[in-house]
Amino acid sequence: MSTIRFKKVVKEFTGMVRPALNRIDLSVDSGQFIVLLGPSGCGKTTMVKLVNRLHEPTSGDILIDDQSIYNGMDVIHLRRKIGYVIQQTGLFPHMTVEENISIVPNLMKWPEEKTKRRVDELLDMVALPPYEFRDRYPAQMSGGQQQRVGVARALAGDPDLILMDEPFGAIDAITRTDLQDSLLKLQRRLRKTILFVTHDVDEALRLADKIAILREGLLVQYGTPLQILTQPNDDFVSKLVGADDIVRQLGQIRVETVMEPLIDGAPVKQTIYRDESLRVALSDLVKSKQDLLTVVDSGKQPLGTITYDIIRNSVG
Amino acid sequence: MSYIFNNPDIILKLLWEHIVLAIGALLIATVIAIPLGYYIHGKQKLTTVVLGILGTLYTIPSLVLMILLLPIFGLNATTVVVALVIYCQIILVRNVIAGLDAIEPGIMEAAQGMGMTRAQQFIQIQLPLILPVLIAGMRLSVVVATAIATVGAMFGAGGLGTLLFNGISQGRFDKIISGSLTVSLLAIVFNLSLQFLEKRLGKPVS
Repeated sequence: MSTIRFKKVVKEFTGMVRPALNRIDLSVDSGQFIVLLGPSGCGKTTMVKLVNRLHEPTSGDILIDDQSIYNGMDVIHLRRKIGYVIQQTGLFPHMTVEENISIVPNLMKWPEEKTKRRVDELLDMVALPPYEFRDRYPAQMSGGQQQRVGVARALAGDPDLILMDEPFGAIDAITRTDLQDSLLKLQRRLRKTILFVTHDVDEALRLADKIAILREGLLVQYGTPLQILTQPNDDFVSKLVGADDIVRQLGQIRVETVMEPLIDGAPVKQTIYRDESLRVALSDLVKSKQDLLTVVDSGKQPLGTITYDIIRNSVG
Repeated sequence: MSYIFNNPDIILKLLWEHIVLAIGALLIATVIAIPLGYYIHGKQKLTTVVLGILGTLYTIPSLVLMILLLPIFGLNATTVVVALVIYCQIILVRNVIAGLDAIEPGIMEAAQGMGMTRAQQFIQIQLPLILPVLIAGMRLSVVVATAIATVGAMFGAGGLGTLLFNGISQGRFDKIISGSLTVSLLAIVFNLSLQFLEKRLGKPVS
């Protein structure tokens, strides 16, 4: 487990008029997927780099598991316990996939056998067959595959906390959706604490348990995707997430986030997968002429139900 | 030509001396240039100053530089090696810096963010990535060193220059031609072998 707490964090860069981050207070629970969202220059990347101390704050404190990261904690040690994924993948071009993923295990001096097993396990996890990809160099893979390796590398040391700085920013739309799906599935299994930076609203709404919206160094809103869409704090947030476009909203909300818990004996008729959007749910309801859909997981186990009323109450 | 075949022992002895001079100077120069380039890399002003000084030194004629070094190191091979090391610096330091500059910032950020120490970053990431550029610099350096080492014969360093200077004073064209031919051949062999190494190291890079 890993909780993070930002306490009145201020970061100023020399030569800048306003602080990059201005008195940020933010609490992240263990196992949560937090997306930091905002236009470029809002301070979201700075925030992530404060956590692994690539930047040092001007004032304020950051706590991981209620311990300040500035009090007696060795920087190198701290970084090895935090997974880190960046946009340009940062893969080492002169190393194979296996060597890239083995970096942190080697730094932590794992026995060779354990590292080898871990590499294969991780490659399976990110859907790259080990026998095919283990010995490849980054240049011999597509951008999407490279970023899968980037994610695997961040997970290698089994960190509780993972920082992702616009990891899918440079990847085409179709592949990006694919990677987002994989990441959601992975996170459902691993329950890491994730800080994920993006300027892509759709990506944020899709992935986040909670979204922190930043603007010019200020935290303007922190809440679930549904809260952000239905109760935007101000005009900026409303415009950013397109809160007045109801069809768009439906497309961004996952059914599992609004479904009603299962009541025993509810008939399983038409089913819908938990990650589908309310827009798909609405379309399914209309097409099937039912008034209720059963939400299921990947093993077809029922989790809850969706009705017209729930959809109507979720938006606007 | 016949001089070479009639006196293989002399040629080999001088050739060996010449190789030791050039390679010795190259290795010493590389050992100095890597930390120097690493240290001044990213420091704009310092880089300008250091490269300026090294560039100026490079323009001093070899004979003059060696005469200037004479009082410090004496009439022996040391003076010649020091001069060669100085000439190689500008080439090597410039290539080390160019190599480090060419590394994508994201790569170093990832290395740092994953918890590599500075030494680990250098040994595991930076050094292997600058190797092709560094070797290209070493190739040019060794060719330059081979040529300039010829002058070394005047300062008691031996080498193939001995044949040239003897030939000139004795009016023996066969010695002059044999000497120049062997030096040229040596330079070509150095060049080709390092070129081969450079290509071998050209692994796929994104």
